[in-house]
Amino acid sequence: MATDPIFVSAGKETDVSLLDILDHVLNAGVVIHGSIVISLAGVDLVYIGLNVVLTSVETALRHLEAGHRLGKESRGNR
Amino acid sequence: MAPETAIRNAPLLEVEEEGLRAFYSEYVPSANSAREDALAFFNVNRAIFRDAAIIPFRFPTVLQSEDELVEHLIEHATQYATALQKLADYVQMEVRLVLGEAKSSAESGTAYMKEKQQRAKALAAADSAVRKAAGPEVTEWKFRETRDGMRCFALVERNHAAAFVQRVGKLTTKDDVKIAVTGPWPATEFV
Repeated sequence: MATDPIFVSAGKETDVSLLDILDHVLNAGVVIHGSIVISLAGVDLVYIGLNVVLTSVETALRHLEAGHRLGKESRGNR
Repeated sequence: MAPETAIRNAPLLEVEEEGLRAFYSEYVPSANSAREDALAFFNVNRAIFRDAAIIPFRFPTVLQSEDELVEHLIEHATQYATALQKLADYVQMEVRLVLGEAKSSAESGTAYMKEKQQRAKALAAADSAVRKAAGPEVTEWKFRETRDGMRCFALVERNHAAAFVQRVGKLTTKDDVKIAVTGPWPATEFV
C-alpha cells in the first residue's frame, strides 16, 4: 500500500515540505472553472477563479519560509 | 479509510453517483485560515489515498450545493471512472531537477549562450540518470520545464513506490543539479 509522501534528496529522507503540499493541493487536480460569491461581514465579494486567495497566500508563505530560514541562520551565527 | 471530519472539523460527507464516490464538506473560504484549510484538505485526501486511487479537486473547489456536485459527477462520470480504473494500482512519483544559480556575469552574448548550453546539457544528463535509475517499473513519464530546471512525473505501481524512492533518491550529479524525489502522490498528471 502507498505510504504518506516523503521527500528524499542525496539519500536523505525528510518529511515532505509545506510548500510541496500546498503546491499539490493548489496546482494539481481537477479544475472546475466558475465564480463564487462569498459574504464577509455582510459585504458580497465575487471571486473569479478559485485560486486568487490562495495564490497570494502561497506567495506570502514563500516569503515567510525564507524569513524563517534567514532567522535560523542568523541565530546560528551568534 | 476516510476520516470523519474535514476542514475546520466540518463533517466529511459523501455522495455516490454513477459508480463514483465523492467526498466533500461544507466550507466557506477564508483568507485568514487558508493555509490551515489547505492542509486539512490535504490530510483528508491523504487518508483516503492510503487505501484507494483518488482524483482530487484543486483546492479550493467550491460548489453551491450537493446537487451541483452530483450534476458534475454525472457529466464527467465516464472520464472519471476510466481514469480511476487506469490508476487503480498506481501512484505518481515526482523528481525535481533544480539547476544551481547561473555563475557567469555573462559579459557577452556568446558567453551567456555558452553557459545556457552547458546548463541545458547538465539538466539533460540528470534527467537521463534519473530515468535510468528509476528502471523499467515506470509505466509512463511526463515532464514539465520550470524556471530553474525540470519536474518529472513517473507513474508507477503502488508496490514499486518505495523502490523508486530508494533508487532515485540517492542519486547525486557531478554537475550543479540538485535531484529531489517526493511521493507517492495521487496520479493527477496522468488523469
